[in-house]
Amino acid sequence: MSQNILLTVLAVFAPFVSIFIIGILTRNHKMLSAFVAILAISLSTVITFYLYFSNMQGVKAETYYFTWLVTDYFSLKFGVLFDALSLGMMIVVCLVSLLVHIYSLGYMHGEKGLARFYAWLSLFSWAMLLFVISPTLLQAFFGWELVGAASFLLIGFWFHKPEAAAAAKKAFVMTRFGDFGFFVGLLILLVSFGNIDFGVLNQLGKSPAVNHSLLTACALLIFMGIMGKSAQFPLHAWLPDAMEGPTPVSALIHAATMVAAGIYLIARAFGFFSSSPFAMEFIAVVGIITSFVAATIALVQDDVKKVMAYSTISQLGLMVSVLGAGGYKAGVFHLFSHAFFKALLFLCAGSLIHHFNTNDMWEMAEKGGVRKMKITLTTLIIGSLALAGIFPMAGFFSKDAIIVAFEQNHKEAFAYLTMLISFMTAYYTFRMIFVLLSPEPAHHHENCHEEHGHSEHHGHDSPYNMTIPLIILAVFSVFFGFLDTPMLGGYFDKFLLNKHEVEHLHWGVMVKSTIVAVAGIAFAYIQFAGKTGRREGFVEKVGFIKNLLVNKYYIDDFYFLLVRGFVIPFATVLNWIDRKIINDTGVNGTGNIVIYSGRFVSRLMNGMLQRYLGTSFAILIFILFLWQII
Amino acid sequence: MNFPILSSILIIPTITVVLILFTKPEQKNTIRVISLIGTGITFLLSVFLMVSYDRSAGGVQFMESVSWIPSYGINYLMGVDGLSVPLVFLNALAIFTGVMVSWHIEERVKEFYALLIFLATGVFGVFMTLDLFFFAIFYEVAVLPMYLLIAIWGSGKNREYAAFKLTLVLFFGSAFVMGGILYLYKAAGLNTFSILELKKSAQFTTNMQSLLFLLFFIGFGSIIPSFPMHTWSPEGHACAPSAVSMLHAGVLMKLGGYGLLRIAIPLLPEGLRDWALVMMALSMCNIVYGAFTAIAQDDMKFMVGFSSVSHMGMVLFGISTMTLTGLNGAAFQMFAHGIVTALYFSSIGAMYNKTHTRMISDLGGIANIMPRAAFFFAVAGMAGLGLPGFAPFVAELMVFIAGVKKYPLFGIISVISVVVTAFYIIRCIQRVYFGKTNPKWEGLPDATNFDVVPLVMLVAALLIFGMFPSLVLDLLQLETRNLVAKLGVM
Repeated sequence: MSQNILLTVLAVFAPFVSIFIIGILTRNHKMLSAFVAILAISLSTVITFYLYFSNMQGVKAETYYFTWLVTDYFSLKFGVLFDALSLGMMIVVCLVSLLVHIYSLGYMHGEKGLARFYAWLSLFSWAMLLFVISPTLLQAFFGWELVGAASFLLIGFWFHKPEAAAAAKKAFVMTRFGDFGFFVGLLILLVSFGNIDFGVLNQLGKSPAVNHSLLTACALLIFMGIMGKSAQFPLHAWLPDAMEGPTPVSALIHAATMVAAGIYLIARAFGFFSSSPFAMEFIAVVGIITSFVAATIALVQDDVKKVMAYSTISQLGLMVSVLGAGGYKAGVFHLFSHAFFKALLFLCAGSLIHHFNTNDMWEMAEKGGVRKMKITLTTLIIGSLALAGIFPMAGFFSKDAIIVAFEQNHKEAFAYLTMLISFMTAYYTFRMIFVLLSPEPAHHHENCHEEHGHSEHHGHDSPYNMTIPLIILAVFSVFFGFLDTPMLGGYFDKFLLNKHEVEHLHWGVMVKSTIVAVAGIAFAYIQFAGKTGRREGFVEKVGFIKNLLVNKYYIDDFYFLLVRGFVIPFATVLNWIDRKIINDTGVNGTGNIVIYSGRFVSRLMNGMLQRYLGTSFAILIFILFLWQII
Repeated sequence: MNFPILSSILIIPTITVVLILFTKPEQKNTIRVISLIGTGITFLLSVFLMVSYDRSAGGVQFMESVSWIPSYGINYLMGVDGLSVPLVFLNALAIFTGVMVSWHIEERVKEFYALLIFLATGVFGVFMTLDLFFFAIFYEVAVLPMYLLIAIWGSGKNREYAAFKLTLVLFFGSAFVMGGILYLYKAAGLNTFSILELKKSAQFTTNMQSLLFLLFFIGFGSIIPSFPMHTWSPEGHACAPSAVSMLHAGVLMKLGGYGLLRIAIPLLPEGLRDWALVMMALSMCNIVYGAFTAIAQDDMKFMVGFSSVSHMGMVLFGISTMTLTGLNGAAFQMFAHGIVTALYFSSIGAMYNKTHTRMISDLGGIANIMPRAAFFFAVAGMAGLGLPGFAPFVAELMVFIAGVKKYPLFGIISVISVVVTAFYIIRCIQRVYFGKTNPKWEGLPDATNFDVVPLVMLVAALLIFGMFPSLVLDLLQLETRNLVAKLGVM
């Protein structure tokens, strides 16, 4: 076992140990549990960064296997795949997770179940890392399901709130529905090729002996799981609801890492997916539809977390789409940069929510005081600029990379759609910013202190354990993008693809996308800046579009109907059949036959000689009759 | 001769029963402690058995043989192999935790514990004997106390009906098993009831194998329980007290699968080949129909009962594939499902002791007042819906792999149960444990430290065997290999 592998294993298992330490030893001590979890994830982060710096100039891919389950006809192994992609993703996961762990100290201050919260965070971090380092699809599935469970537990962390409970259920069941496809695809692959690692999986399409329609079927089935977990249309409906969970959880799981697991999986099995042109086309189309649908819904959201949730879906859609179009690097690059600025945005939103006790941007504006939360506001604007794709933020470079990838793969229509989506993204992000920056109504100032007591010190920012993670993420959001520029020698290409020629800048795309993004911001400025009170943007002014968007294209209603109108009635009918037909008629009926035949026979023997004789005679005749037949 | 560990596993619970019978009924705590000690020793012995069974040698070990009725070839023949060792452990775990779970029972404590342990003794006997005659006797011993346990200590107004139905269906099944055993004895003509002898030298024609297999399939199928003879199971679970449900679903159901793997398949391989498609079709009904029906249940124990129907269908499905992977999966599923259901029922019991209702629609927000009971149910649910890391995932994975390989279409259909199971389990967690607490339940105490001990043991078992499945699978495989060799297929 090489040093890299050993360290990777250590990094993965630190949070695992933490779950048990918290569960067994420290579960009654809130701060001690938090400390254990933070220590564990810090250890993972330090190890990951050490691994990065010792492999900075290119990673030699290594795989190591532990056997897990050996039977005569197949053996299941667990292992570690250490390469540039997994190392990059480990950095993102560990770093965001660590910052969220620290941030939660402030955000969840005074929370009763803090030990439980940190145990679940550790569970999530472990499961996610286990997923990231998987060398086989089976282990990936293992981690995939576990992150789903951790997500369920964390969305439902405040389980006393009925909305949180319902959201947790919805998230689990909907992603599980997608996982049905993943599982079937995985089973077919296991049965056909054994427990192969990604290296072999990615080469399958090149072998002429392999049935290509089988590969296409498997690719589509596995993509179904990705649609669930990475919230692709129409299985995206769980993600906005998942915002019922604590905001740090939304930042970690539902923005930066878990929902990106699907993107990571496509990148991981890129060769496999590419071997099926149909599947790739399908993935690209689903991605772009998702992105468009989510961006339009985000235009009319009033809840800051919902805006960000839909924007997450929209950005995930772009990543999926560009991977489907063949843009491997662009997809991965956007995955990383999005993880930083979206985690930042969510944590900023958390800081606002912590301060204002509401999720609604209009109420925040009305209460006033956003401008005084200097660090939160600055970092929020940085994150928003990154999301909108303004130079020099990370989002600018990664979104341009997506557009370039679409153009290079001759998908111009997708490139134009991406521009349109960028326009909407810039618009809805800055709609939120301009609403938050509304001029403060003067009369409110005095009331606020009395209304909300000491929990809200207007004019103060959140505590340091919340603002420092914001600053760190903001730094990443600003500078991460430069990794892909000739200024740094195309470092990202070199690291990820081991490619040494430096790609030149695509000025045309940069100019176009900047114009689009600025136009979006300007549009938002015209309609929302400098005014007070609730105001409607251009979309809300068209009645039917507003209805469609506010009702989220009626997708939730569709699922509601599906469950209430089909699944539960179907189960009820089956239950009725089980009770009435199988039990009452079948089982009890058999019992009754025994009872009635017993009564019949007992009537033959009522003690009267005539009846006895008659019976004996009848039996005699019957026996003679049988004799004749035989 | 070495220390007769198998006989000890049988005798210690018997002595415990006798000691309980000699204790005054008023001395409830004495009775409880005696039961705890007796089953605790048995549990330790079963752990010892699991550890000291020589995995590299395989085969039947710890054999004890005493001639009993030589003229009919009946011997007290005990021995365990890779298939029975894990099941002996499972039974010991279930009865040991069951004794702790029943601690709060106040009514007729003496009779309760005596019957409960007597039942477990019968199950031990079934798993350890290699003589068909004793097999039949132990089988009856295991089934009979169930009637009294449900009818006297059960809950709900249907309990006598449920107990009656359960007993009748199981006896209906065992009539077929008895008939099968006697016919087998006669047809083999070797004047022996020893499974080992019969396995070695009995010859049956194809038709006879087919007929005999059908008898065993009906007999064991009704205890597994295979569709359409499953209706005794949810009702029986629902009316039984927690510990009885634990033993019933955790172990008793496994007698059916064990019987098939121990008697029917090795002796009548041709029979399995004839009936495999029927078995597969019925198992599909179990898996899919059981899962959907579980959605509609309002009583939590009914829901778990139907989920057992669904999951035990996996055992049948695995067997019907006639592959090593399928048989491994089936055997592992018996083991894993036993632990999961024991955890389900004990955690439901921990709540029911306080709320006295299990109706999903009446409950809500229980996690606010009983976080422990809620936690353990959630763990059971997560394990039950096949979350990786817990034992059932491994079992289901193997069954599905075998299923998709052998019957691709039906294999995929059976995977639907994964989604449906998630739906009813998560929905139940949401409606029972999450949300606002109904004021009616406000102030109820949570499970105590002592109540939690058995639950922790079961969770630990689920995790250990989920993360290190080879501990059990290596054992099971020693035997399933032989079965596959008998079947002559891969």
